[in-house]
Amino acid sequence: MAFSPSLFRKNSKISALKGMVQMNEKTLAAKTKTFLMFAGPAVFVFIAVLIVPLIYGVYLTFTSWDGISNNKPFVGLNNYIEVFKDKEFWNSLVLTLKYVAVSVVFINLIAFILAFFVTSGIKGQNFLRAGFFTPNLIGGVVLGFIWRFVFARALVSFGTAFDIDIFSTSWLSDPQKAFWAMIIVTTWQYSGYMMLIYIAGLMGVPKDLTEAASIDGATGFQATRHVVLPMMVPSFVICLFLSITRCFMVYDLNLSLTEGGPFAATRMVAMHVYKKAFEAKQYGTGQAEALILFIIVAIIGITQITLGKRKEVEA
Amino acid sequence: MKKNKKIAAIIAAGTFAAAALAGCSNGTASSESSSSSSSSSSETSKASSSSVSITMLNSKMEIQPQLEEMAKKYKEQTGVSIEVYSTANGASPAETIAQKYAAGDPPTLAMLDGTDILTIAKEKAIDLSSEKWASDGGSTYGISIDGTLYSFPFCIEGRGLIYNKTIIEKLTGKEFNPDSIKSMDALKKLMDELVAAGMEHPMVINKEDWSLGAHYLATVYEEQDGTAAGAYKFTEGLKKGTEKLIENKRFNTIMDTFDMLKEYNINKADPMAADYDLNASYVAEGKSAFWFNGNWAWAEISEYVDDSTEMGIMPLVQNTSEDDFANNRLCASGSKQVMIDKIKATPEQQQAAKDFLNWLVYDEAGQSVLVNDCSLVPAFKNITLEVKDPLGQSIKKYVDAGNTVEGFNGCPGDHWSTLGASMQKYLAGQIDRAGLASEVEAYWAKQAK
Repeated sequence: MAFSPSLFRKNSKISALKGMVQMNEKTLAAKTKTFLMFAGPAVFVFIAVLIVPLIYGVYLTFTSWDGISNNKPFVGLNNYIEVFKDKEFWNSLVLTLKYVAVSVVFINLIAFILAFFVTSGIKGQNFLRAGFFTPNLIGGVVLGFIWRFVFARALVSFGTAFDIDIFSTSWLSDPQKAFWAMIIVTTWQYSGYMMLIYIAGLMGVPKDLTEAASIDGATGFQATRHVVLPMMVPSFVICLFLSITRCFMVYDLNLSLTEGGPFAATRMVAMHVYKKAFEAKQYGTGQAEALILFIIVAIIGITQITLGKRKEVEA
Repeated sequence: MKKNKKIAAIIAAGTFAAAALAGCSNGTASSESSSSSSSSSSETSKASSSSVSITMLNSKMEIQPQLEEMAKKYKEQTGVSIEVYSTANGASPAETIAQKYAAGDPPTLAMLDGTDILTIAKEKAIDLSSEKWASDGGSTYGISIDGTLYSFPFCIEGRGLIYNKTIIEKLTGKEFNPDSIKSMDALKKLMDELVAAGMEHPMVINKEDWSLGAHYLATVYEEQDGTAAGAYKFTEGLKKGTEKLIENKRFNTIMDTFDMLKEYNINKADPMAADYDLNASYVAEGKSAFWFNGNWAWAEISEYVDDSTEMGIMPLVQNTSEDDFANNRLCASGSKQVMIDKIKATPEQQQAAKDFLNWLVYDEAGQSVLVNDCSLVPAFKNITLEVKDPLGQSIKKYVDAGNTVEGFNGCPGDHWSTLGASMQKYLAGQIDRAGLASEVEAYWAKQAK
């Protein structure tokens, strides 16, 4: 890399700073002071809002607290045994896994196609980008209510008027269709956001690489498959991570679109945990379920990122 | 220059830390500032009691503006300031009160649901048994645990079959007297008449789990013998497995009525697609004649109804004998209960809170707040003000005559959603009566431990 004047200036500044620090480096107290001055507030906030609640939450899983009483009777591992006996928890976990798998595929597929489409240089692509991104700006609850109207009223009137069988009854009153309604809305909500990340990835592929590929005689498809896609692995990793974690934790959309119904058939795991802790007032068991969910999501997220990182290439 | 930067950094770090700390104590800080502003706003406060200020948690969001108005009036009259705040949007009273106690900042007066009082009152509420209003209806509709009265019934809500009298009379050409319908067969006959006169579907059934689970199914417990004690005994039997639901007479008559109503349901083609607002419009506009719901539904009905339409509520009739209490009495109970905190409230605050409850019952201004401003059905015999809405008037008629089935607050917190889902399955034809009975029994058996 070239030795630029600006870099040189920076270096001289750094050495001046080093001199300052070296003066103070001798005592431990001074070291602590420096650390606290730079990292103190952030560390304090991190401990206060993340570490302490996490530890307290883990502690609560060993009690049979009802959420309000003064006593929190210690019950050991009972809550975890209870979790393994809670059939509905495992059912809703399996349902959530299905939901995550299907929606993550749809979100990323559609987002990538959209990104490809709006970077291809068609007319009005900036307008289209903004348009596809808009659904993401609407909050999950409002979104759910809008789509509830679409599925329960608009499509039904449409279906009965034109005699289309699949729309003639509300999708939300059938367990299978309600599940797909969730997936459709989720895809609609997130694909615009993921599209944005993919656009950044596509634009970041150096022009000289694609040019070189075309000079070497690669077709458009070959260039995409062997040059563009490998360069975009970081985008895929981040998009998959975001969509997996968001879909796992879905609650607002679940509540406002289907309310977990019909007959509790679309109750995702986050909603089940909430109901366990706050409605059934089994706070300890609910907390234990939340912890198990956290561990599962963490494992999936970390695995996905490590596997994805291995595929990254340098230009 | 360097110094300036350092100062700026310190200030930035300081504000950051302060903001974080303020986040922890947000509740007290905001309540202090708002109470001090309210006390400075009115100069008329009396010297003697002006130092006492109390807080109240309101869990009926729709009457929040009226209660704030009431607090102003009360301050002028007595000098005691009440800060009224409501549950956060979408949060249940149980969640809100749990957060408040966890934060060490509980309200002096907490308006909660009956089940919440049962779970927390012994630990956190003062004894109200010796209050004057207890003998005027307070002990009937308030909640007692082991003979001690812990709560003040803020209002009465009742449920049953809402009827549109005007449309029934128009179609049948006869006067409609709800007291003459005393059995399921009589109701069926009337519905057939309505169908013959051109009304396609005279009945509306909600699909909401709270309506089916907490209201329809709970009738089975409450009408075992019409008392809360009877309902408790019955659910205890379900827990132990000694009660067999499918052989239970009341369960079967109530489900017989449900089966009959299902046939006439306006949402019959796709019962799980029912829409609450549309349901209200059906019965208000005379597209249908009956709706299983309670007097709170007036909020929605009033959006669609015109003033000349007469409406009311009648009991959920069943095919038992005509003098069976279930065919003559309405399920009505104190649905919002107010308790006074004993953990953080000082004796002066507790006394001020008691005085305030007395004011609601015995002072004209207080009575007017309950009945005229908030349009509630009061639980107290001495209040003679006319209730405003027709459904409330119906309820009041049954309450005054003593024709009510006692409310049962012993259902666990997830009863309505879990068994509401089972009732939805039954409504949609996914399970039969035996299947429903076994799901209900399984739910209660799980509560046994």
